[in-house]
Amino acid sequence: MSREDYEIVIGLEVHSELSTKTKIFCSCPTEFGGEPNTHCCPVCMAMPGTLPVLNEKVVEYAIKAGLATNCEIASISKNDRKNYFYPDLPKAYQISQYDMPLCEHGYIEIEVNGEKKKIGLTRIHIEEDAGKLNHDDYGRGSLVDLNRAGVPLIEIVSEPDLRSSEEVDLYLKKLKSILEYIEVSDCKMQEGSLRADVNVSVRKKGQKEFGTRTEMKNMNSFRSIVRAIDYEAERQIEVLEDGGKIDQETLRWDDVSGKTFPMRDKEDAQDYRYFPDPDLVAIKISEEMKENIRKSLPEMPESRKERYINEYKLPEYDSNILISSKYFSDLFEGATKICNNPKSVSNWIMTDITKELNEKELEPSDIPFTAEELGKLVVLIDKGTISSSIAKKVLDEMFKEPRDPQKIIEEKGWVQISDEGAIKEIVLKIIEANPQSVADFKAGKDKAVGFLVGQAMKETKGKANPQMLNKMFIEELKK
Amino acid sequence: MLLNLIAGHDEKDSTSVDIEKKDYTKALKKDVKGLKIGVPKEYFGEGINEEVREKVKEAIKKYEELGATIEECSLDIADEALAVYYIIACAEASSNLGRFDGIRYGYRTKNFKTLKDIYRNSRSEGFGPEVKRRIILGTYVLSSGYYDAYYKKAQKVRTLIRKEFEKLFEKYDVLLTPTSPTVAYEIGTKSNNPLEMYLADLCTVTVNIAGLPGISVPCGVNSKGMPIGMQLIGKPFDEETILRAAYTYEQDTKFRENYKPEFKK
Ligand SMILES: [Zn+2]
Repeated sequence: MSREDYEIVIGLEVHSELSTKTKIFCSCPTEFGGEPNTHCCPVCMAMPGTLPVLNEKVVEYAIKAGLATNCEIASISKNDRKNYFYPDLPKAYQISQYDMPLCEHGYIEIEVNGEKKKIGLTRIHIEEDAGKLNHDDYGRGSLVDLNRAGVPLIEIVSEPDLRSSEEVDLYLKKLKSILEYIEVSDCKMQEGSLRADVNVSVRKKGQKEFGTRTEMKNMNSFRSIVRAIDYEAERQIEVLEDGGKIDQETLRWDDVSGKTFPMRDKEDAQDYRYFPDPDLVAIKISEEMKENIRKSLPEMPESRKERYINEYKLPEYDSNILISSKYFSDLFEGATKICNNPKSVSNWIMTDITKELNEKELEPSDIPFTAEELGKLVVLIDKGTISSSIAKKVLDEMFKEPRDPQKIIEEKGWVQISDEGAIKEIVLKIIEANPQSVADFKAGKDKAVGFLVGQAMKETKGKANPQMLNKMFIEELKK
Repeated sequence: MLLNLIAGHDEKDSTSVDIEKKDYTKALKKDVKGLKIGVPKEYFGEGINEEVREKVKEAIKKYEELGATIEECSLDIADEALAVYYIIACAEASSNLGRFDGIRYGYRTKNFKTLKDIYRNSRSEGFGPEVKRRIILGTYVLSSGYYDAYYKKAQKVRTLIRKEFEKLFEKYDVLLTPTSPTVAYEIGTKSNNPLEMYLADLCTVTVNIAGLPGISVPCGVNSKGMPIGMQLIGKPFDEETILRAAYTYEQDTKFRENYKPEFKK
């Protein structure tokens, strides 16, 4: 049998930190960073005698996520304790949800090779994040930072409906974009606000039962997830082909070697002893609350795409790129409002801005300047105040130190020279300095004009209006 | 007065109920005329010390004289309350006490090489035998495979107990039982028999399980001068009625003023 005879089956559990202002069971800030143990209080530090109080926003955000992913929303739900010992878990239990999650039976649609495919969602539930261990560099031990303890999470559990690493990549991108659109999570991968546990198994094509699965926990880069799935599926197929058997186990993906390894600490299956948290009461969700949240959902990407094609007359290709991220989409709409030139804004986002992000390994959410500033930049080009080559330099500046583009060109003296007298002066100077090109032109070599324009641009550091230069060179040379 | 202070909704405790606060000192009136008192016969049977039974029965008679209506009633499920209580309380305790793991809170062992040693040794050395017993019991009833048979079942029985009480309170204003099946035992005498110790809670844990207010009122001493108490149980959030009943009895018998306890050295 060969590789093609196998089918890969993948299910994902995605944890996403919610961007509520305060933590799930106390009023500490959820902000990332800060000196260790400065964003905590007796409740999230688990002082004996303290009690949790559920943050209503967390329920609201989770329901938003459920509605945006076509889930059924429970009318009654509850919190359960998941008991286990780990130094970053000060209560020795995590408050989560066990058998009555807030949202169930949803799906997310992805497009695989031009065909739409629904990926089922088993459930979405709320829970609290744990703290973080900072291992010191001298091997003396680990220090516990509880700033993250109690930050609200939603866990989005998919059905084992994914069949390739490519589908997983599409699914994750779609999920991330949905969470960004409804503004429940900023999905910053490098800050760990989106992480996934990946379950992989393989089976022969046509076989009904699933194969034994392995799990890779806490992965926070889409690229690593794709690589890990490809590697792990290949490994499992090899084991089976050699007549071996897959162990159900937790693996660790090593990004450097590109391999998976069994976790060193192989505990017997953990018994989390889930039970309803007696410190909290049932969560009741009225139809009215569901309806209000449904009404508060912002316009979703598909509908924006329609609008871009119909209202702004953008190509579908552009529209797809713009809606791939809420940050792109918002930037596009905001800038277009200022400059009224949708195609130009779209081009800037698709080319120069994307290039800059890729070079710096940044995400659309990291774009430092505002939509208004981008809009003003396009206005400056359209008015002829700056050339597009200067505009690129202004954009670089905006990435470095975001401010009004008008200010940037004034500070740097980058205003385009469009004054006829000034242009004439330059043209005469260049003609005088390049007799050979002048002779070439007179001999019928039209290309010489291009060279002269180039020289003039060099002389003015790109500030001269190229169209005017071109026109005036021809006029002067023909005299 | 303490009740007046602690009553009402606490926004930092989600399990506290948000109802209007009352002034409980106003309930301290001498008047039990027409008060319907139920006496569950299960609390006067086997396992209840003879002297305790007698003193509580005297108190019942006193209430009758003061104008209350007394009726024997039945609370079948009372027997189960103790088991339910210990399953639920131990389960919660096993989880609540998890935080005393030697990392953040409580005692940390000096004897460890690995993280597991810290957990194991801190908890082994730090907790006393009764606490350990309850943690083990609680962990057991929550374990996968046992959860349904113990914890979940206990929660279901708890609901039944609550319903049983609801039914009784359709007929009675107050229920009257002994506070404890026996008088207090001497320190240290029962620690080898935890089950017997748990049984002493028989009468009082029921109100905790059912979520009812209860008050213990001294009603006599036994032949050795050890105090005996009766318990008055009220409807949910009806502390006023049991306070009034207790106050009336206390004012009439002046038991407290006549009781001069002697302490052994
Ligand atoms: Zn806190």
